[in-house]
Amino acid sequence: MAPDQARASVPEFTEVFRQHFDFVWRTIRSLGVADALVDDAVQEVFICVHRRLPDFERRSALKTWIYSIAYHTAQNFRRSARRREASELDDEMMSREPGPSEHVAGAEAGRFVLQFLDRLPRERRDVFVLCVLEELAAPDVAEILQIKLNTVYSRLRLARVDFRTALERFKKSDRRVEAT
Amino acid sequence: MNVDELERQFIRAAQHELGPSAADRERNQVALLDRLAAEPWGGASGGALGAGKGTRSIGAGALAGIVGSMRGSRLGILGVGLIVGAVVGGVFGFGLGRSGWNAPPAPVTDAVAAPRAAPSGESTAEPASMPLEAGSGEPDAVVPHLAPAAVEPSPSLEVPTSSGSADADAARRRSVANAKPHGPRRAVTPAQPESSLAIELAMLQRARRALNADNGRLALGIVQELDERFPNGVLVEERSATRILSLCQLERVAEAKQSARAFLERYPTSVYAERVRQSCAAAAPRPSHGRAVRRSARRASGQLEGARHRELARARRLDCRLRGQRLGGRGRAAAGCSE
Repeated sequence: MAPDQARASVPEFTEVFRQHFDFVWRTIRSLGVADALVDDAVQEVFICVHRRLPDFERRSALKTWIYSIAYHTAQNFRRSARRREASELDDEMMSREPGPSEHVAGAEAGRFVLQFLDRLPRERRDVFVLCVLEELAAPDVAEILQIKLNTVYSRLRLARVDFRTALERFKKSDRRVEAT
Repeated sequence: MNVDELERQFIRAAQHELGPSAADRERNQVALLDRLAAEPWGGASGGALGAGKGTRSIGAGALAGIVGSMRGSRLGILGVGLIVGAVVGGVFGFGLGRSGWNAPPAPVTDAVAAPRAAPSGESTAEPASMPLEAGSGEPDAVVPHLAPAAVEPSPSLEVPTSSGSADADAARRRSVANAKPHGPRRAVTPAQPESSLAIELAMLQRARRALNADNGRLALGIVQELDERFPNGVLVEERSATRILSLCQLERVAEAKQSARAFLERYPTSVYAERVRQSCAAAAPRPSHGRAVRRSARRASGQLEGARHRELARARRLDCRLRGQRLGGRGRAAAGCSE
């Protein structure tokens, strides 16, 4: 591809920001970055995108490329922070009885999923976030995580089992609350 | 409701709940603008941001890209307002109105000291929470910037920019014009005093934020970069205090004590003095009440205040000019600017 053509094919940063901000934000949160640091992490992702955008070679989809940056950024942020604040929230969540499942508020579902992700082994969490929450294709996930496609499927299966178990537990406790 | 339905419901709800609010989006957009402008490499890939035809100075292109993107939303007003209004507020935060670390926090950047991460994850911050004072819990706000000219010249200042629509291009040009009081050539000239102050302030706020996040290494790195870039900076006192607290966080007690001694000798009446004394440098002596020390303190304090007054006056002038450009006489009058 001629240099001019290559340059023309590079999307504008502002467009990238506009189109992918929600995605990056959600990803950063899902991948275990503490709430207090989400802003910083999201900005880091876009700063990195800004730096590298001119060199983006379209070997993968833009979303996959951005996700890859977000994934590594989240790893860096959570390495030492390890969601201290979230652990406190976690205890609080565990001590609270859930509301009726038919009326599960979005916020409660969000907290439940975050809490679930917190407890999930990291390998499974990454795959779960990418495949289930972000609905990326398994081959893209394999590329981002640098693992085999079969490994993606196997981790996803295990993560889904974990999620279902957690939901069943939630549902049971919900019934118990309703019965009382 | 069976588990399948519940699973779908939760996933949908979580996808929605984990997403950002409009406020999250706006806050980050503005903060990102600030960070891109403040970094020395701020425009390094500005070609992706600038949408004009031909070539354009990168710093302006980068800013114009984002500021232009604000147009049409209330963020447009917010963005320009912050660039303009935060000048005075920011200077007051660290300057005359100093009540400690109450200036709005800025995002932490790893541009200085944090280790680089693997292939694409370029950054890291290793935070926790160690609020310095009440200000640490405030919502994010924008680091003051005086103008796009605040971007320090980068090694390659002119890059070809991709073409955009005429309207967008015009919008960006207007944004640049609004935010840039000294004309389009300004971005390629060496940094002006205003821009130095803005960058210094932004970096210092990042250092403070890093400290709050328990990332002393990053904070110290930023302070060291400040030393290199602005050896005669205006905010040396704040910088010194940050250095001491960073050293304490890194458990480099001996260095912290040494710095604390120098700090207390130079700024015995500093609002940060007590904070420094309460740090790991607690053994640092309280200032003696000797005549020489008092004289030295008065001199240091006077010099510092004089510099602050000058910077503040400069910031006010710039604010008035920008208000005048944007809002006309009404804006100038509202800001108490004389004609």
